[in-house]
Amino acid sequence: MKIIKIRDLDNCSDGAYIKSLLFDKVITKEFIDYLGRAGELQYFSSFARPFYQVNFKNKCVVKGVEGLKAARLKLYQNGAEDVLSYFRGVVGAYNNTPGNVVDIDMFNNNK
Amino acid sequence: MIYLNNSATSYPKPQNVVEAVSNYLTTVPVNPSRSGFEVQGEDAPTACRQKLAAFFKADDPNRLIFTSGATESLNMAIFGLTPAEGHIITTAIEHTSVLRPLKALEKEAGLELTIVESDADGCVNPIDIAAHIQTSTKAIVVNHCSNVTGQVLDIKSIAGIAHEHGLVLIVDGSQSAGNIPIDITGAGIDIFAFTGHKSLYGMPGVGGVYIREGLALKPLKVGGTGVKSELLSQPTELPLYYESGTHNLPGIVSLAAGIDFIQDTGLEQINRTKHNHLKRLTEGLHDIPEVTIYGSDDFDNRCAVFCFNMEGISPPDLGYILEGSFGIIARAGLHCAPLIHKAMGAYPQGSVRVSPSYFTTTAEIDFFIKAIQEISANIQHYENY
Repeated sequence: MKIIKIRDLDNCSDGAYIKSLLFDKVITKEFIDYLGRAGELQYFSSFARPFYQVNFKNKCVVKGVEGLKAARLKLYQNGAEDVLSYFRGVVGAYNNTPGNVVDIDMFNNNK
Repeated sequence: MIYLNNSATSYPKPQNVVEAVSNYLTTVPVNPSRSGFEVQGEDAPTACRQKLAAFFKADDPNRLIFTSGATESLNMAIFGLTPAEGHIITTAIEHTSVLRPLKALEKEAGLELTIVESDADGCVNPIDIAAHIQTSTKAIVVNHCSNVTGQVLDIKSIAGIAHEHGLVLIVDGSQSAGNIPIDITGAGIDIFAFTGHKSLYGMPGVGGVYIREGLALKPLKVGGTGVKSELLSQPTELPLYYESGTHNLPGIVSLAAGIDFIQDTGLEQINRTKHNHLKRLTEGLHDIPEVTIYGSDDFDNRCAVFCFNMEGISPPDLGYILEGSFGIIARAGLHCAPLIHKAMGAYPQGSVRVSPSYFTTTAEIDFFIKAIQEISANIQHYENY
């Protein structure tokens, strides 16, 4: 799984930034669950197409719809590049984790 | 995909519009006034101008000027008419295509600007406008119909007030054109700005402005007009005076076809269909406790624009879920109309806007209502990050 494009969408009135992410593959339930292990997951399975959002506390929120390649990222703080780098790390770890089982300790401090 | 964002741009376009543009694009391009030979019948701009004049009950087709849309029309009106000093009255229900040019003049040219408040439904009382008229007031700029609540203002009364005080009335008809009957002459509108790609069913990038006789605006652009090339200065005849450069002919052709569609279908029929959707939306969401619906219950004075919010979820997130999870295209945010959202108590977060078309089906409206019910049933679990 890889982020192949990041686009600025909006600047919120609370100072947050919203970015559009495009992944190279569709976002699966397995990947959503993976993200949920690194952050706090909300998953709405009863919607026509399930919606999810994952809160990486004090860093960012990623939200989107299962089955799409795109998602949205809301950055909390000014250090947007650091947060993006962190999130890329989370996504990259999914690729590098045998069986896609994330090393929880790697992200525990972020919960 | 269910498209409910027709206040932004209409979709789908009527089949005759699609065919007219296709025919235009597959026919030898004969640029009116530039080719040196006659095309069959009227050239496209003249034919479209005549249709627009009849549709809007404008006295002279040549006083209908083609532009790229309402923003350019309003820029032409505001920057072309407004003297460097003086006072202008506008309202809180305006789009930024009015507010920003006026604010620019206020900042850069010393214009004095009064913005008359609206109520939470977007209604502006003409008496409140009259109360702000000063000896230095030059013009009143008003939205005919709010793009947020759909509220239609009493233009005839406002025109009466304007003319009683010798003021110019500029009307933004972006949302009203193609939705309700407009009688430019009868209502006493001095300048009427409209766009082609919303309820007139044309393509994006075409619109126009009517300028009544006796008013002279400074053109936004001067240059080639295709005729009178011996003149080194701008020809003064209308519409040439305001229409330099190449016409957006595919757009003009689409606009003419859009007017044909409305005339053939009947504005009343179109209006009735859209109002039925508006009523169904209102009734469908009325009993959902988390939902706040904006706009008046007086549907007779509204266009089919439906704005709402849901407690516990931000408008952008709700819009995103509607689109991503349910395939419904609505619009979330301030809709380029920040001040009316203050009156609604929905600033700065904005609202979610649903705007059906004549082509929207009852089944699509019902699917939208079910989607909102589904989201509201889960909203207590939603964390609003």
